[in-house]
Amino acid sequence: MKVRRSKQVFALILSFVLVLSLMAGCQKSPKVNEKDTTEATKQTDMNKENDKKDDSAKKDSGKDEVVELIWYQIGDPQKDMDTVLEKVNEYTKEKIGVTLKINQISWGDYNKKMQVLINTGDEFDLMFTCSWANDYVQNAQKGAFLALDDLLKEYGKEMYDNIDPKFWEAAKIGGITYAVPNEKEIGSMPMWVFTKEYVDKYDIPYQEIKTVEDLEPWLKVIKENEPEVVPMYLTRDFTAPTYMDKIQDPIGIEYDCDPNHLVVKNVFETEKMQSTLRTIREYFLAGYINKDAATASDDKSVKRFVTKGDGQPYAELIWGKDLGYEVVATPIMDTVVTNASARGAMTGVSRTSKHPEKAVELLNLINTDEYLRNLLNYGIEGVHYDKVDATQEEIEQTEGRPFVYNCKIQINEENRKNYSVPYWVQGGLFNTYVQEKEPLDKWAEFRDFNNNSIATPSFGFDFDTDPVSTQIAGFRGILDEFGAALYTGSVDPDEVIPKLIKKLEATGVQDVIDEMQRQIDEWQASK
Amino acid sequence: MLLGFKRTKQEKQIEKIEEAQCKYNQIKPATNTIFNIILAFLALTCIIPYLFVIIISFTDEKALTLYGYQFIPKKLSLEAYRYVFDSGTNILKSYGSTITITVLGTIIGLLLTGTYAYALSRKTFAYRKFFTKLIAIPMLFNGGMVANYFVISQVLMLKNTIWVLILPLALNSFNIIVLRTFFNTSIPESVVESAKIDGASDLRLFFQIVIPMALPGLATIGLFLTLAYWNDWFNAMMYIDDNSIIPLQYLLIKIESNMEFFINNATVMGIDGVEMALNLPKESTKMAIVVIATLPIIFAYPFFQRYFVKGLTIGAVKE
Repeated sequence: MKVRRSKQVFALILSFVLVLSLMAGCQKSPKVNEKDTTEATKQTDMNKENDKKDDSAKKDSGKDEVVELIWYQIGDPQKDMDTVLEKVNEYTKEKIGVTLKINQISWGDYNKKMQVLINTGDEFDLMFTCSWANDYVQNAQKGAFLALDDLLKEYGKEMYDNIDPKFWEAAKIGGITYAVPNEKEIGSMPMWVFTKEYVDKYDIPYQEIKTVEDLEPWLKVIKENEPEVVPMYLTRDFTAPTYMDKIQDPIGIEYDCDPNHLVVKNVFETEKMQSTLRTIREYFLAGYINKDAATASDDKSVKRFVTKGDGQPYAELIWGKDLGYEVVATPIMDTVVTNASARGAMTGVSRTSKHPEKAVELLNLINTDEYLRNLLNYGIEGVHYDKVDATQEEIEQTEGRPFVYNCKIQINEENRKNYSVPYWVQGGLFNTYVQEKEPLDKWAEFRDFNNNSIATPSFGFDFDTDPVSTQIAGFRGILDEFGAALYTGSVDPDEVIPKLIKKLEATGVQDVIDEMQRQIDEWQASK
Repeated sequence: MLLGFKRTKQEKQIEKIEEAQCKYNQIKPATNTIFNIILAFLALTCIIPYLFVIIISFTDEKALTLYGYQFIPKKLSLEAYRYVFDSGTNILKSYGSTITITVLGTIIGLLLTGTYAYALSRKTFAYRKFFTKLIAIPMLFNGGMVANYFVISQVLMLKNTIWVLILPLALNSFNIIVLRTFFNTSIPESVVESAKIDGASDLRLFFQIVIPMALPGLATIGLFLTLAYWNDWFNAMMYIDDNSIIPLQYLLIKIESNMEFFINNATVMGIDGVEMALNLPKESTKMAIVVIATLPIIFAYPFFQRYFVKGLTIGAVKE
């Protein structure tokens, strides 16, 4: 018996030793490189060692040391990323002593992946963050980002001065900047999107149409004369025009709220939303809206007269490309700037970064250097795109406007599938060249658009959801249950809204309203 | 002559009995038809969707948007396959890595599972209890995603290597227990003993006596492993940033999850979402990838099937 026991103990010890030695084996290699080479080290290790020595020699001689920065971006991985990065690195190595490694994580996986990377304290330098993916506020509160204020003063002065102060304001959480905003459109602009064919045919003054109510006469015309066409095409992700900053859906602050006395409301209890929903219900009963609206997803083969989209300047070009025919669009309301819209795309520096100064320096270079920015954006000249000269006429027309370059980009159709990245993920858009079919002063238009956008009264307020997180968790399910049917007019709002409100109250919507009101009062008092 | 007659008489009697027995066991013709219809119906519900996928993959994209899905498409096209084979999305490369992972993984997995299970099945093995408990633990508890990620990426340093797609799936407690039971029931102790008496070493015993006898069991586990490797995408999502070793299933999942992401974030992303969705593969291309991804595994089934019926009863009796 005793013999068996000792045998067991022996086996246990043996297996532990085995595991330990395995682990040690894994950690050994970096250590060897740090120490002086021993006789036993092989030739390859010698070479590595020499490289290392060269590096450390450089370190001693000054700041020429080349560091590699790892950058996580949202977007599908591109085949030619490596070849483009080679060119990029050539340039950045010389300019600021940095090489870049970009890891693109596809759209649907980005949130999950970044969550794991941040929670495990993985080492990397830069990451894409915004209000709708890899949530900026949550991660900042969790401590995933480095505070950048001091670094910006020293290493990012140029871009700090270049980028619209409104963006920097939005980037602050509790007075601290955690990310560099990528300059693009600052506000969200809900628009009516009309099929141009019918607008021309019936000579519709589409630019005068604003509210849902304004659509009525024209929907009628289309319904009577074009039996093939759906007058108002809605899908399940449609939300009725909302005149409120929904800080925590469905709760927020109305746009026309008295800025000195902000009142938190439930959107479904506001007069405006209720009357809009009633109008949409009327349209639905009159047959203006497709019957399957509450469940449909956008089917491009359906001929439609009007639909709602969230746009920006020149958005009709993209919608047109998507649908395969020309469209025209007009804004439903004045463009407003909310926290969410101004935080549409940003780049944060990870808390685990070993070279935060270099990271900021790199962002500064990307946001201010025309060559580097366009290289990252469009790929290699001659491979992924060619430069085309802008016409003399256009150059004259746009003279004196900001962000105008004297060339345009013609994307190589053959190679575009090997390198096409979401432009606004990498940096500001205003120092990129415009594409062939776009106006030369596109970015000047964007600048005007941003300047004309009005900040909502609640701009700059961040809601700390912690005290009421259990209540909020219940909202999503209720909104999913009623939202689509209500917004598309498939059900009677007078009947369903009270039901919806009752359900929300059961999950504690009032607690959330009270908590938000308390926080917002505090925020206003401190302003 | 007489003898011969007698024999035929006897034979006739036997035949009669057999016939009667046969009839006795036979299902009534009516029931038989009903069962056949039900089974045929079930088979069709499995086959038709896949057939449909194949048809869609050969349909012209324009015809798809105009007329929707059709069993007899208005216009045929090979465009989807052309796109798959020379697109920038690395589909062929992914195909290669999926095959490598599956083949390598199944071999390594079988070797590990087989040896582990065999050792546990031998009553003469001293640390049986300890090692049985050792595999029982991960069946009940596991560290969760973050801990897993930490160990794999920072302790074992497997991130961005092909091994991260192979090793985590290679050994599975459930497979070990199934195989151990199979070894216990199908390999008599006396066979092992006699081999030992003839002077076989433990390794020879395992590879030349035990494996041939346990083929049905191994084939079943082999099929489990093959399917698990072929369909795995989660490990790729977590641990692979390098574009070149992404398996096929992950490529497919990505297309789907991207689509979903754009739909869910339509309002916040606005026009950017529309622009990005433009770059996604079209409907027929998606179906073409599905077809290409499933074909090899369909061919793997008949290969394993001969062992499968026998293998199904594995683990039915636990000792």
